Amino acid sequence: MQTVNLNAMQAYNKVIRANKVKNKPWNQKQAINTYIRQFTVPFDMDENVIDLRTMSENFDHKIIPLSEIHNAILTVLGPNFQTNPTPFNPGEGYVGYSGQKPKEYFDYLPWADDLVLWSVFQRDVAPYHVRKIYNDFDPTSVIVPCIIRITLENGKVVFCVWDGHHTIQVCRLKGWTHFPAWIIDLDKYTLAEIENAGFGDTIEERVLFGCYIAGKNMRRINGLMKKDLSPYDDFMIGYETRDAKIVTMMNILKDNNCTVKRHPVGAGAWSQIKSGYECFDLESVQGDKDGRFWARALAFHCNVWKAAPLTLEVYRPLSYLYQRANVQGITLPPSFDKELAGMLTKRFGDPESVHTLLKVSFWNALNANNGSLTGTIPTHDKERVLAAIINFYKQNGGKAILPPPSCQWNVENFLPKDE
Amino acid sequence: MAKKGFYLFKDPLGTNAVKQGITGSWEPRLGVYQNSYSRKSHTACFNVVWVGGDTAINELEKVVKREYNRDIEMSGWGHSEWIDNHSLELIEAKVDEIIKGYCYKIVKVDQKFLPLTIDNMPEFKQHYGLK
Repeated sequence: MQTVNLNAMQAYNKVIRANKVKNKPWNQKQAINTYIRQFTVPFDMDENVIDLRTMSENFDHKIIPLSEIHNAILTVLGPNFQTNPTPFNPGEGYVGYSGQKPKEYFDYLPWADDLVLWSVFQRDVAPYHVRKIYNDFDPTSVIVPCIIRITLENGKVVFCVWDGHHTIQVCRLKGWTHFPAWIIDLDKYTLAEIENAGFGDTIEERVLFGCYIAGKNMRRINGLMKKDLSPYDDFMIGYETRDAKIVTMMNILKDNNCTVKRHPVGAGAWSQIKSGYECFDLESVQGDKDGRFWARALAFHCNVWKAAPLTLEVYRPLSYLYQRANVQGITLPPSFDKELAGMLTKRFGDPESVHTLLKVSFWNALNANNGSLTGTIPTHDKERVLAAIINFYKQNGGKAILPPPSCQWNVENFLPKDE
Repeated sequence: MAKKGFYLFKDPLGTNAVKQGITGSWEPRLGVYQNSYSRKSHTACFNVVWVGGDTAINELEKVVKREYNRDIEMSGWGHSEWIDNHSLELIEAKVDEIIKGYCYKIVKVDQKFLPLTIDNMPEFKQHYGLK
């Protein structure tokens, strides 16, 4: 492994300075290209994602300093993204206030009457979710719940959970007597802060302000600012941490020289993770879900379109075709794959054109509304392309017996004439 | 029948950069390029051209732009189709390789029509059945 020698921040500043000197407007792509050129192994980065797995190959042990990722993020966000450079250490409050806790602090709270839920800023509780977490419980994976400490109008102090309620309930079921908590102390807010948010100078208004803070934070964390785990990240983390099913899927991909990618770029690139699970899970006549149909569809794709990324709308219908043949007791010999491949490439060429034009043919036949299309109208593209492939194969003199298509039409008659 | 074309041309000012693009409006596209300089300096032309159906040509452009993404220096305003640091010959070979690897139904235009300019456009279009 090679370590990056250049300081990325220096390079970033260099781009900014260069643009200022020449009075050129900042260009994101140019900034990204300049940044990436420092690295031995180039990687993708844009607004949506920085490919950290590839980036990590530039570092010893594939471990990236957060400061380097920080530089990459700033490179993408550009000079118009203003940050507050004032140093801030949230833990300093413990020292600086003669033992007093700061506005936000960490603590362990006991299971007691003052540990409460105020439904105005919390979602309903889902017992099935409690059971789900309980069954999967591991004390090393407990995320610290968030709580707001409120002094009510009657002087009573309550600790209201605004995030992590399910976690606390599960920990209690596991026998925990105290719970880790990240606590906001409402009493530490100044009147100016409360008034600036539109609330008044009364105890009732202070409590309402507390609800406002908790509700806003709850929605921020769980809704507005939530970054879902992408299927790609989920798959790669599952693979690199030895999830059995994902390892099996990866073996199938490797057997076919395919690689998992966030975007469908490059030969054999596979990026449709969820649909891959769907194809892998197709059940054989013996009841196995071992990915055999998906594997054959991938082999078909890679043998025919050697430079292309895997096209979902081609390998998924093919997976279903193999599975249906298996369930219906039809044996499809290897010569079938060769024969079908020849027909598809001769007529349509590349995989995108294959499914795009087959779907066009379907819609043209359906919209003709003259009885050209008979049978059950498919409601999903995978069924439309599957039916089109079966019809097309039969109409071009295919030798193998195939499962019947859900609907029939003459594919060629409804293809665009100039494609 | 082919509808569209994918083309490459060298930077007329001589840098090591190549423009890639697609068009179905051949004369207007060359006209746009010719607008930038006098014919006395340079006649707008496409150095290499491939023709094919809409779907295939559109897909080919996407693949080529992805392939050379890091050599497309800037985004927007006429910059995003200029590929730097590669010769025309290298990019031409790569495009041929992509077409073969993807099995695109795309035909490479015969050398006798190249470079394609406004002058030999009628013969080219007639030969390939283009509008």
